[in-house]
Amino acid sequence: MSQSIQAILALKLKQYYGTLRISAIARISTIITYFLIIFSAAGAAILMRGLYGIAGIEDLPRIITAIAFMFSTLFIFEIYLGMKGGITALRSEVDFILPSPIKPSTYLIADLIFQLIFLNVILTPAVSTFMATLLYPDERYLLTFFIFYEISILMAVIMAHILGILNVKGYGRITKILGWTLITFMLIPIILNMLDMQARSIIVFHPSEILARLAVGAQETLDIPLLVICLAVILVSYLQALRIKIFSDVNPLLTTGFMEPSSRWTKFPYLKLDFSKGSLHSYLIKFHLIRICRDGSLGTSMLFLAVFVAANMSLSRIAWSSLRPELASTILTALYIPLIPALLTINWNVTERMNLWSPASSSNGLRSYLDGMLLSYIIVSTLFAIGFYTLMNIMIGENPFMILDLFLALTTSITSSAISTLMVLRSKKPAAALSHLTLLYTMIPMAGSMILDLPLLIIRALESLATNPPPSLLAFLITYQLLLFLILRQGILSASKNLAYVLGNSV
Amino acid sequence: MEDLLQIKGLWKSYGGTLAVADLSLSIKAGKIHGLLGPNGAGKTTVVKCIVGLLKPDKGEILVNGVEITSSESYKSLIGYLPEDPALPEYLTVEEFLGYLARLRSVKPQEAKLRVGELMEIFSLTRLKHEFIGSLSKGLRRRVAVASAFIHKPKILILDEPFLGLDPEGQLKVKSMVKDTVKRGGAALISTHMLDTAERFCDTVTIVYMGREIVSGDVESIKQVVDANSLEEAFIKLINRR
Repeated sequence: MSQSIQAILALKLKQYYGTLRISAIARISTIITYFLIIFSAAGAAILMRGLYGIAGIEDLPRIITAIAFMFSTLFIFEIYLGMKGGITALRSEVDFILPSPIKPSTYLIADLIFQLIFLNVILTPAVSTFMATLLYPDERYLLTFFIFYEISILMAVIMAHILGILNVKGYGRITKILGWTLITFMLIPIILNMLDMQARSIIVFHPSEILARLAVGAQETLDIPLLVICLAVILVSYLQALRIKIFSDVNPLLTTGFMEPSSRWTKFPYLKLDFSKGSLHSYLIKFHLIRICRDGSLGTSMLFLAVFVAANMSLSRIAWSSLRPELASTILTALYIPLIPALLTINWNVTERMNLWSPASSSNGLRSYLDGMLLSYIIVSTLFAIGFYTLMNIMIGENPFMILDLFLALTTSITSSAISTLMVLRSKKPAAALSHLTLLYTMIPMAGSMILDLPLLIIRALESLATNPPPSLLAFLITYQLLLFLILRQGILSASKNLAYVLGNSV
Repeated sequence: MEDLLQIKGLWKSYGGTLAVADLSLSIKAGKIHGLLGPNGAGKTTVVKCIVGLLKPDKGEILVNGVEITSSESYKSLIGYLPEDPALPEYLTVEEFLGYLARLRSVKPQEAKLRVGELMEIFSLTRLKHEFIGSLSKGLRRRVAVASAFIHKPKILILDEPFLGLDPEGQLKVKSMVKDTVKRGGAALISTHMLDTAERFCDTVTIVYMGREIVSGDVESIKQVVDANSLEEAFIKLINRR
C-alpha cells in the first residue's frame, strides 16, 4: 500500500473513530451498542428458527434463501448509498486532501479500503452472531460463509463506488437508471419468494443466490465460473472508473447518511409551510413534517418499509412449518417500527441539529420545537406502523386481533418516537453518518420500546386474552400507555433547557 | 439612561481551558457597544452566554434588569446573529424568515408583513421561493442577518455581523442597527473589524484571553495609549499583555 493511501486511510479512520480515542463515554456506548447488536442478532436468528421453523443446516434450501436475502439486502443498501454519493468524502477532505497532488485512484482506493473496514466493523459482529445461531450446531460452515460474505462486501462497495463516480461526473440520470435497475435485480429473489413463485432459471444465475450456495458449500456446477465472471465485470468496470478525474466535482457526500447532498433540496417543493396561520404548536408539527419530507427521510423510511415488508413476506413463505405467522407479523411490527423514528433522528442529527440556534435563542423555542418534533415523529411512525401491519396481514392473509394489533402499532410508534427524541437530548455531539452512535440511535429505541411495551406484547402473545380482551384489560393498557407517554413527554420538555446549554458548543 | 444589558463578573471555562474571566460590561439604551478582541479571546463565549446557549460558571447577566436564568422570556427582547449560522437548507427564504418570526412570538398575521418588509430591505424578495440550500454563501449570510431583526428586538446581539457581506449588505445592517438603537434599543457587536467598530460603535470593550483589558468610548481608549486609530490602540494594548 502506498504511503499516500495509508495517510488518507489513517485520516478517514481518525475522522470516523476519533471520538473513541478521546471520550470514555463514546467507548462505553460503543461497547453497549455492540452488546445490543449481538444480542439482537442472536435474538433475530432464534426468532427465525422458532417462528419460521428453520433448524440448522438440515434446512439447506431455506438457509440458502435466508443468506441470499442477506446478501441482496447488503447489495441494495450499498447501491442505494452509491446513488446518493458512494464516496465518503467529508468536508475537510474536499477542502484539504482533494486539492493536494494525489491521483484520483489513490484517493478512491483509500476510500474503498476504508469502506471495507467500516462495513466490517459495523456489520460483521451482528452477521457472524446471526449466522452462528442460525447454523447451530453446524458451525463448520461459518468459515466458508465468512469468505463469501467478504466477497459480497467487496462487490457491494465497488458497485457503490462506480455509481458514486458516475454521479459526481454528472451522469446523474444514468446513475439513477443503473442504480434502480440493479436494486430491482437484487430484489428478484425476495419478490419471487414473496409472491411464492418458483423461477429456478433466474435464481440459478442471481449473484446473491450464487454467493449463498457457495457460502454453505452447496454450489452448483456453474456457480464458481459465474461468480468469477461477475467479479471480473465489476473489477474491470472499477478499473475504468478509477481513471476518471473526479476531484473537481466531488462534493461532501455521504456525510448526510441516507440523504441527498444539500444542493438538491428540491423534494416536495409544492408543499408550502404557511407561517401566517394557526397556533405555534400546529405550525411546528407542520414544520417538522415538511422537513421530514424534504430532507429525504420520508423517502428513505418508505424504502426501508418496502424492504422489510418484502423480506418478511418472503421469510413467511419459506416458513412451511411456521407455528403462528400472525404473531410473527405483530412481533416484527413492534421490532421494525422503532426504526422509523430512529432513522428520522439520525437524519435530524445530520441535517437539523446545527440549526437549533434559532429555537434555542427564542423564548421557550426549544420546548415548542421538541414537542412539535415528538408529535410529528408519532404521526409519521403511526402511519408507517399501520401501513406495515396492514401489508403484512394482507400478505399473510390473517387478521385475528385487530384491536390489540392496532393499539400495539400506535403505542410502539409513541414509545419509540419519545425514546428517539430523548436520545437527541442526551447526546452532546451529532453522530457521524453510519457511526457507532447511529447504531445506538437505532438500538435503544428498538430495545426501549420493546421493554416499555412489554405488558401489551405479553397480552398479545396470550391467545386466549388477545382473542377477546376484557374491557378492564383494555382500560389498563390505555392508562398505562397514556401515563408512559406523558412521563416521556414531560422528560423531553423538561430537558429542553439543558439542551440549549449542550448545544452551545456545537451550534 | 437605563442599562439594557449588564454583565457582572462573568466566568466561563471549557474543561480546564479558561474562556472568560471576570468580565463585566453594561450597555445603555441608545448605545452600540463593540466587543473586540483577537481570535480565541472569548467574544463568542460571552455572546452565547447572553443568548442562553452556554451556562456561565459564575457571574450575572441581566437583560432589561432581569437576571437571565430566572426565565426564558428575556429571549423575546433579543435579536441574535451567530458568527457562523447554519440555516435549514430545506426551507425557502420566505419560509425560514417566517419560521424565525413564529419562534420569536410574532403574531401570524404580523409575521407575513414583517417577513415581506425584511426581504425588501435586504433585497431578498426575488429569492423568496428559493431554497436556502441553493443560495450562495453571501446570500445565506444576508438571510441570517435579516432573521435577527424579524421580531423588532430591543437588544441586538450580533456576532461578526459584517462578515461575508458585500458593502451594500453591510450598509443595510448598519442602518437596521441604528434604527433599533434610535427606538431606545441597544446593540452588542462582536467583531474583529476594528475600522468599522471605530466608526460605528459608541463604546467598546477589548478582551484578551477572556479578560477585559479596556472598556470605554473609542476616543478615550485612543487617548489612553496615545493612538491615532482604534486599530493602533488595539495592537498596543494587546502587545502590553
